[in-house]
Amino acid sequence: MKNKMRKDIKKHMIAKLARFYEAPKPLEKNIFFQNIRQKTEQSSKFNHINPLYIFRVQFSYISKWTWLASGTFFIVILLIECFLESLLIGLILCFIPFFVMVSIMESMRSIIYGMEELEQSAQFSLKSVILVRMGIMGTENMFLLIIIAAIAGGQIWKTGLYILVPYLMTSYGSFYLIRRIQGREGTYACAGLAVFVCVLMTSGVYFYQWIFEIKYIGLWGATAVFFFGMTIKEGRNIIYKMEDILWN
Amino acid sequence: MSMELEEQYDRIYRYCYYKLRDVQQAEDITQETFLRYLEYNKSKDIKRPLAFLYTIARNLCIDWFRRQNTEELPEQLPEQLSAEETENHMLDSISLRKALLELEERERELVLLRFVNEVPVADLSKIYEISRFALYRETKKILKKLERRILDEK
Amino acid sequence: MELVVDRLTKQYKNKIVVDRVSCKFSEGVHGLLGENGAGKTTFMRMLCNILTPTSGSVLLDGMDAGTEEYRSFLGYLPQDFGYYPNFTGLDFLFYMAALKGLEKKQAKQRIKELLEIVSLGEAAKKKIKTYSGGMKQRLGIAQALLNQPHLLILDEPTAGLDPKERVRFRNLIAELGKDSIVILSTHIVSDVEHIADYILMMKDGQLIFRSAREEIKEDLEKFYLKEFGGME
Repeated sequence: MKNKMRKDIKKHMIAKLARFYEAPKPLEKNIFFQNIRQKTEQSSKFNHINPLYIFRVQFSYISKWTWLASGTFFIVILLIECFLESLLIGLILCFIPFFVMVSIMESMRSIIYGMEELEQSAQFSLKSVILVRMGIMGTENMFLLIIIAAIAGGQIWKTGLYILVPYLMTSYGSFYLIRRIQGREGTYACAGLAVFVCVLMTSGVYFYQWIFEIKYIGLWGATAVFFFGMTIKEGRNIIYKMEDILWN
Repeated sequence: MSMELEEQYDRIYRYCYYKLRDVQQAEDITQETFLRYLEYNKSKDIKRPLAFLYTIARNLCIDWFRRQNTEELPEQLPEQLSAEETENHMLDSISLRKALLELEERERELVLLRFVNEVPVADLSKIYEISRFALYRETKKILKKLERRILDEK
Repeated sequence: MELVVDRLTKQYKNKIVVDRVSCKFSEGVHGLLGENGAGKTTFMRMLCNILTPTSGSVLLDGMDAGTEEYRSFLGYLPQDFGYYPNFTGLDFLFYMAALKGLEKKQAKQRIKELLEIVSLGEAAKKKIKTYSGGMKQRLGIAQALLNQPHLLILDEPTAGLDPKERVRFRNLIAELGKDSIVILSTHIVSDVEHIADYILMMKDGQLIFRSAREEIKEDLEKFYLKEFGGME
């Protein structure tokens, strides 16, 4: 009996103590923690940005005109392939440089529209943005070119080589030009270059039809490899010397 | 800052209030306690966060007293007597108050932490730097003292 | 945080545009004064990783300006900037938010807050080509604040603004200076007079003067004219 009483007293005592010690409510609790949350949000952050994320973002921001232009040239070529068998190769070749032109203009959009300073100082900087864009456009180009080569009939690798020559010539020339001519003028020069290569291809095809004979395929191959190498070299220079391209 | 620790703000505040007897000071020291805790937490892992929090608060209170150039004053006990006290006629708030006053200061602090703030025993033993066993013993002793005092009053 | 600039130099062929500038910046507003051509913009571009120095270093709490980490703490408002055609204010902010590593959801929340801070609310849905100079500047500042930067660099932020907008800008900058390092360059002395904690002056690529604002007893305008020999 006494023990039970003691247990009860104890239980009630403890309960009473809790209520007994009630303190006035603190006034600044919420503001205090809000401030802290703000401060920690501000200071903790650094995460590397995932390039894939930027890939997706940039993909979504590629101008619809770019897709349209690319698509138009692609369709024209397909039409040629379907209806103009005889003039086939020559005509195809003369349109190829324009794929490069469209790609370059898209890649250099930041510069054309004056966003380069803002993008350069952002965490995922301009250089990477340009590279990502070139990657996207390059992939798109390859994709389209493979389809073109496949549909052309004949041997796909042969057609492929023919196509690669003007493509790589224009690529190399474009990289060369944007490195040396600043700002948007550089991209305009690339447009001019595309036209030049187009004319070159057309006249070459017209006046030197023999060049497409099988015995000269080696020449085409060598030329393609040469321009491939030069494109890579010039491309690397662009990556390393981006600053010279962008700023005076 | 984890949600759980944020909840401790009120309890730390209560602790500081009974030590310092000043609303503003209690809040200031409570905030200082949390700020220091967070600062430390940035660089090192804290094994017993609650114990650490109370230890900081305790030391800050001691420092404050030192700066006030006073001896540590006995903490304030709640004055108000609520109407519900008549519930249990065996436990009169006045006698509880008397009983509490007869405890030593350290024992009163322990009562506050253990029964009012419900600090887990493991943390308490870290704060007081005594073993859990010793803590149990001391707690039991205090409860007995209080019981006896209250029963004596009847 | 502290930004330490050590003997920063930029040289082009024969011309030295920024000449061995050394300085430390801590939280607060730092006003950089100087005429056009003094090297302010080049200097600031080096702080923003837009130009690489010929020599010298820029370190924010030990992080070099060339790193992605440094840029994650940086916000920059250039003197002038372009925008992709047909972008609305919102498009612009979302685009920049992505480049600054903000996720869509985070970005949405942050953009909402910022539009309120710079008072661009409704206008954000309109195309940037319809914006006035003041509105575009406000958009620029919003963009600079997206990643809650600890280091905010503003190049002539009040040029082209009307007096009322200028005051609003000043107040905003003063507020930002409480928790971040704000470096702003201008050739308008009155801008800086009211809000800068520190004043720096550049001439011919060199840092010719640096001091806390409160230590300059005389009228800042007079002081400036004195230092620059009457050219404003």
